Amino acid sequence: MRKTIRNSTIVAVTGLLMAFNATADDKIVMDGSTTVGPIAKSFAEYYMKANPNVNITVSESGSGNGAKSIINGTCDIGNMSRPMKSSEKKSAKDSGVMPIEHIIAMDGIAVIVHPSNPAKGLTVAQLRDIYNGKIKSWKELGGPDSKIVVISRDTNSGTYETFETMVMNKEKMASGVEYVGSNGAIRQRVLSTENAIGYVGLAFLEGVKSLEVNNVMPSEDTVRNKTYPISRPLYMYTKGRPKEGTHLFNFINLYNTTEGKKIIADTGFVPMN
Amino acid sequence: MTMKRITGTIAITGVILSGILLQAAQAAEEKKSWTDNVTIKGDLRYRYETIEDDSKLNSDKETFTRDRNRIRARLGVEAKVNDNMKAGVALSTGQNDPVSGNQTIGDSFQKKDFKLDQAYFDWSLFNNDPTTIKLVGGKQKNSFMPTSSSDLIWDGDATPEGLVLKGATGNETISIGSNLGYLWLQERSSNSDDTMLYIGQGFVTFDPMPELSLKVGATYYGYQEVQGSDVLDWEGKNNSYGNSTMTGSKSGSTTNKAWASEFTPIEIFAVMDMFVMGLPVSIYGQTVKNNDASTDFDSGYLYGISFGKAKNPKTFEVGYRFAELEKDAVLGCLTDSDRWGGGTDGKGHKVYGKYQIAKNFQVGLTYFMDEKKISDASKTTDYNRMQADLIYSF
Repeated sequence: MRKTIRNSTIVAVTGLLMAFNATADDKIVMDGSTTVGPIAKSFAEYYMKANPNVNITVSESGSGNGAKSIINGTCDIGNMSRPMKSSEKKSAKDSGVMPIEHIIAMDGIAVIVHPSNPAKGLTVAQLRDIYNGKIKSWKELGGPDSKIVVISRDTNSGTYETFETMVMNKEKMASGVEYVGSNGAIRQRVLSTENAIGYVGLAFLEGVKSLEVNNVMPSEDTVRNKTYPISRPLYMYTKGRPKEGTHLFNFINLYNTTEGKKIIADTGFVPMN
Repeated sequence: MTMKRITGTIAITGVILSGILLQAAQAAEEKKSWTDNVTIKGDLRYRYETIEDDSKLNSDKETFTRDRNRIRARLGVEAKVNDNMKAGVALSTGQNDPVSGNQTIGDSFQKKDFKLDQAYFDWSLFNNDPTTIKLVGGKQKNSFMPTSSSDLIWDGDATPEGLVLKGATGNETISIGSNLGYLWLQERSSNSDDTMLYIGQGFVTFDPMPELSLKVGATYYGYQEVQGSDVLDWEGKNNSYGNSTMTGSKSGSTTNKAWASEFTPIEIFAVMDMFVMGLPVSIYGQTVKNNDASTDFDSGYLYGISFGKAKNPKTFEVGYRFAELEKDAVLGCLTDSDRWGGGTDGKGHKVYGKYQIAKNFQVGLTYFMDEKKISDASKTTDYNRMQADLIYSF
């Protein structure tokens, strides 16, 4: 009898602990890419203005953390400037999360220098050689005899991963490359350093000089028609397919509306057709 | 030259070459704090367990019931050696049991053993997502279970020893993978009759849509030097864990039991993962047949279904599975140690539920309803077991 009581108690307590809660629809949490950040923040501002009862938060911790937050279930939308890797998709499914991809816009990764830099353009091969350390001075590119200060995004960033895939072609970056944590920080570093070179999303060109790559200037047209060599889609990931009629559904589909496309264009990116 | 020696020579050459490459890579690497490259993880499970075993009777000739509380603590450290290589060491409670880290509490508060559970390197020979080739060497996590629920052949706590080559490639909708194992089950210093385990496993995964994934595959297990070798029993009690035996070697006045069968089982498995109304559902099955069994008891199968995944806070999982494993289908000393008390020659049901209360904190309840010694109907008995778990991980 004593054992039966003890066993029943254990089963009852465990059962009680197995109760679970539902998620509220009036709160949307976003985390991830600093590149997608400006679009996410502008979308959030617009949506909250139209729906004052909805609270939307946007954190910018990099695409890698956007994927992690989706996998761990700590956000509703993971912002990413690269697609989820197969290993991340597997981790998500192992955690009971079905990641659904939404391509919200296109972006070009612009190569930027200080406004006083006379350089006009580079080839992808020259760019690779600057970042792998083979080209060390602007003199080797027809410029002044000064050492190139090479700035990159940190390795958790989707911008970094896109640059690594599209430019570095599996070659490693040189040990002297300086890593910074956001597109804005790269822009600031290049603005304050005459001999610097960096790469940022199209929305971060204010005050800096953007270079041609393979004789093509990054612009809305060249990104959309894919003639600019370093262009990419931007993503938002949700945990499963949002239910029609929910705020999450309306918010994630904002990119496809006239107002959403205007917001994307205003923040310096290229809306989807 | 034997296959074992050739494989071993290739493996050792690989390890030496890896060391040379490693040094070159290290020289080129930027200096970082060592803490940036080290991950520490572990877990603690507190379990209440009650077992009703009809094969054992108490002094009143009633079914023997045992209640006990057990802990399982594991602590591991993994270091990133360079961009392509990791090395790790992990410790676990438990005695020398290869398939359990459980430690029963209540022996006058004696100190408990904390033993080496894993010691491995994980060398990424090629990594260009989604194509990967890895070599994992040492005492390592098991790579051959199709899913953690597909536990017909292995106990989830078993950590194989040797070298495992793992490869995978594919695209968004279809991917293929293979695992090759060169494992040392028993090295014998007195002669060259080492018991080896060579494994070849291949699988294909179809992902036609985010809601559906299907994985099918097959595994060949090639044991060498099993038949006629003394059974491997960590407790030294000549227990064959369900397998058929013959007369083995003599140790003083004791005649040891030896395995009567060779073991070359072939396994076929399938796992279908779905999301139904947003809820993860998994349906899985496994079947195994030992083509070199000395008896007709050479097969086994398992099927099961689960709903939900208890991983993120406030998520749950419930599931059911049925398994039957005949006497000489697989090597009994490596199978699940909970189901019908471990080994082969049993069948039964398992129902379970888990709930992730908070980050890194889970509760679980499991009930087994089994029969053991099914190869002889006159000796078949019931075996029921209930486990209630509190699991903390970090």
